[in-house]
Amino acid sequence: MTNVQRQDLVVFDDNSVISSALFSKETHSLISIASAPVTSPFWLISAIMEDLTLGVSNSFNETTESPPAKKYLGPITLVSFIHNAKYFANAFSKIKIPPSSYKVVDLLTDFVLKNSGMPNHKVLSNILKSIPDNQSSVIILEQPEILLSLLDGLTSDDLHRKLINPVMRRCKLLVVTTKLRSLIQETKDGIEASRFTACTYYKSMAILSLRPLETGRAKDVTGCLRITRGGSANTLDCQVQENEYLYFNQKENTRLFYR
Amino acid sequence: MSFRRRGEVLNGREGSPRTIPGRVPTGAPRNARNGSLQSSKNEITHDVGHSQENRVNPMRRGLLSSPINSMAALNIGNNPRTPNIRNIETLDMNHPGIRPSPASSQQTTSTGSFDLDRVLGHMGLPLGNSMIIKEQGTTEFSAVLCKLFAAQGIMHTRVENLSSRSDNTHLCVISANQGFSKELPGVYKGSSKDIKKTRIAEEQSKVTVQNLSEQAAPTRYNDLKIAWRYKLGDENSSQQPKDNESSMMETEYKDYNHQFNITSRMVPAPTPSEISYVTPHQPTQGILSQLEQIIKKHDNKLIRLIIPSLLHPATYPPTSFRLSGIIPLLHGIRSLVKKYENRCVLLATMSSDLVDDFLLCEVESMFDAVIDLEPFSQEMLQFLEKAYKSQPNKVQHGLLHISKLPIFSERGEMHEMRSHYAFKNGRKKFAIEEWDIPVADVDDSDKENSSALPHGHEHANKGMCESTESRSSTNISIDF
Amino acid sequence: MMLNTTQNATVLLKRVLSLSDFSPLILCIDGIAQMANKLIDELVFTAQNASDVRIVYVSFETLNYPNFECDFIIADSFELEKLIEQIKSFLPTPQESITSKHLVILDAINSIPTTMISHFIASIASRHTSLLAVFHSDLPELPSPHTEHYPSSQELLSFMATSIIEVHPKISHTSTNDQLKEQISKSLIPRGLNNDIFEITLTNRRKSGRSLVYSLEIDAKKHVYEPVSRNDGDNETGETPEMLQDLTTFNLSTSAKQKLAKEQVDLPFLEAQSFNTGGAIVYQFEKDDDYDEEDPFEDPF
Repeated sequence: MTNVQRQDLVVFDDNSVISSALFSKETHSLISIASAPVTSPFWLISAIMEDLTLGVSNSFNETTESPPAKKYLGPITLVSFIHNAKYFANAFSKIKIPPSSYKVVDLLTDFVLKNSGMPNHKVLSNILKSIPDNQSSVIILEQPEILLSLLDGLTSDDLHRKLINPVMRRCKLLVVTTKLRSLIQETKDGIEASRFTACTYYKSMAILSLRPLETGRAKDVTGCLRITRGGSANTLDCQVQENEYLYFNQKENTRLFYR
Repeated sequence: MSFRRRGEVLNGREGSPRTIPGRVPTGAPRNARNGSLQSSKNEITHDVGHSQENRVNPMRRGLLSSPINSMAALNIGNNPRTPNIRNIETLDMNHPGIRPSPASSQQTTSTGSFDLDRVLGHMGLPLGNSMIIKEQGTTEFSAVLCKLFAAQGIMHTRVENLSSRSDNTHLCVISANQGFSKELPGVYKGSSKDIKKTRIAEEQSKVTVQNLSEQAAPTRYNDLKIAWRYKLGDENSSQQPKDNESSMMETEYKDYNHQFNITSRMVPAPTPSEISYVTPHQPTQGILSQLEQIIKKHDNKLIRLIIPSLLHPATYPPTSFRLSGIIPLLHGIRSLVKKYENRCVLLATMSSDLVDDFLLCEVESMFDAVIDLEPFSQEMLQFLEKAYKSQPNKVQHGLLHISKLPIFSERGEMHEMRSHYAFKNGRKKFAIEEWDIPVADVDDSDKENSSALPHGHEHANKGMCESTESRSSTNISIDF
Repeated sequence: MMLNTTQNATVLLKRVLSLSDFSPLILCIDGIAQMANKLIDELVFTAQNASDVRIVYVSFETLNYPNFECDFIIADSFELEKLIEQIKSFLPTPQESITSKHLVILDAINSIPTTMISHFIASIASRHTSLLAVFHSDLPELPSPHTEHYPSSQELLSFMATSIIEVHPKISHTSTNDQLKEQISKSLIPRGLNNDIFEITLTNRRKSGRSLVYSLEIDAKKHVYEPVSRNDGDNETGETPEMLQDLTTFNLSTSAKQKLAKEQVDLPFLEAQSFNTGGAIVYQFEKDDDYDEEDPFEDPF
């Protein structure tokens, strides 16, 4: 019975997680993944990685009868402020993603030591330098808003102008993970952080949000995944398939159910 | 500093060959509990323990022979100074303070509180992970956990036996208060009756030591290990034949976790070779490079990083409370813990009342595990005291909320549990148990004391409703 | 009269969208729930159908060339002064006399600091150029300590604009505006937003100084505009004479004179009709009460 209810993850209306239509035109797209602090989006990043490199998300998509869709063969760059290269290597080796298919830019290890005392624009341009420029690539950027905390005086607009936009220009698809936070904030830092999130939403073509159940903890549900259109105009041949799933993440496996 | 001397002291005074009654891992089968009680009452019921041990062993062997462990063993073992990169450095597999997590088989070290170890889901804090314990109000329960965490590290480094190296752990405290060392609790020696029994046993074992030198080490080592042991009954392991490999396995975790008496002090207090201090009164880079030096200097040791009362206004200047003050520090420390993930753990405590929610959220996001202590208000405590009139030791001191658990939460699992656990801090144990509103006791005491009128009964029920409400809300209302 | 205003609304919107009246600044206020992209497309579609319009698209947000033909400037690669120069290079100088219209589209004017907005707009605006500025109303904004008494960006722009178009999502019957706002304030975006069919509120400032406000629904796919009547609900509650017609052979309707007379009659117990004077029976259902809802004769009182 549970098998019947299980759903595949579908983000685009051509039944794909990452549609190949994204790569067909000279465009730059942004997908944002927003998550509450207690619902880590790492499984979703893994799913996207699987979809890109293996053509199918093994961790939870069950329908493997159809031959894997066209695999994405371009380079993938993971840029993270919270995980180091080893973390990705461990996690991805478990799901058999070939290490040659991605590159990690580790902005966790010694980031503070290396960049202390440097002016903000220099730090940002150094980060940019470390990210390869390839028009056909996919870049996954984990929690860039941490920079708002790490660099004194950095504003959300600066971060978008000097990092997010230039990074977007370096790839076909940029996936940004941010924190799901209230847009109504009282502190200055809070306003900057929520402004960053809102700006990311405006630029996104799809927004994937992960949040715990409002009704409290359940034993067989981790949370709610909602896929909605973002603010960006969609000039592509595929549309975002708006959907809401319940998901259950346990022992490195994820199951999706329609809500 | 010689271990022999310390060993003698411990032998003479602190050794206790038995488990403390009632301190039973919940995972253990019920009859195991009986066994341990029996053996603690009667010194010679070795057979009971023995047979249990054999039953338990296959499981443990399974854990140990997991591929990760064997790989790790291949990596280091005898030549700890691998010429390769620092990340390959791993701890000695026989480190008494580590064991594989039953849930993820990741190497894990004890926090010094058995119940906290259990609540974390890994029987401890997995290496390369960090945990923050927040506390509401002005109570100091988190400080107790912090000291237990520190004391456990010292106990590990003082362990002396054949299979594992002593001097295996180093504490690194980010604090200006060097008196922290002197505040660490000593190991619980059992009740006064137990202590007497221990001395007698000690005398007997001394005879054994003199006569059978072969058995000396294990026996003594056995005496050292005081409190709770993994699978109960392994206290009798000294009686097992030495060639039995399973007995070696059995002794593997016996110094993993100790029980402490928070009213006592650790004797002798930790020495500078066991504990280092890094003052937070310096630029972030200074703290970070000093930390890294300490970690590098003590290579092949387990580094337990401790940040007692993070953002305490007495220690941290107002500028630290800015995002760009505290977050770079925590990001840097996170980077270090992950860089040396094979031999580094971090525990921080902080008061959550002093900072706003936004900063708190940013601070939490730098940690792998987040635990929140919410002590009960005076009114709630009075209610509980009334409810548990007949069993005053059942009165809990507050709720324990979990926001994130190491490894699991990062993977995406949901482990937020609000008001699921309650804690109570006793002299010899920081207990964490599932939180239940006392129901039966109220009725009982009501019936006993006043010939329960229906009216009074209703009143008690009303109180119950209110406490149910307060349970769901984060703050216990004062007008309770 | 009603018919007249609704016609006006559609005609007026068409005039605004086709840029047939010269309007130096059209402000478009949007939010994440319904972004202005579709309105921009609609405006460009209408304007280009009506006359020859050259478009300069200044993008702060997207790197993708829009669906229509235009000069595309990615704003973040320039400092503000350079950006103004860059935009101007695509525009005719005020001295030139050209017939074709020019339209500058700014896809997010939020990125320009409040204090620079009036300078920016003054620098670009000319008698040949209309400016279409999109302002995101739900973007949290930090009050600047130096400009405490200066108006906010939105106030400033609304003051300067000749036409203001607010874009709203067409809300389905199942969700209310409040629910939507609540979700968005948590930065959770509900499903079914950013559709091709949406609503706008058009504020048009006439030369006479009058300001007219209309609500319309736009179907961007079909290019159809429909006025939205906001005052539904009010009409239905009142009993109109028309409702009583043709029900029976009796004459149930009242003439205006009769109605007036009826309203003037003082009812005898007016005092008693305000129920707050006491004496009311307050009934509270109790556990032991056996009250059958389906029994019409069962009176809880």
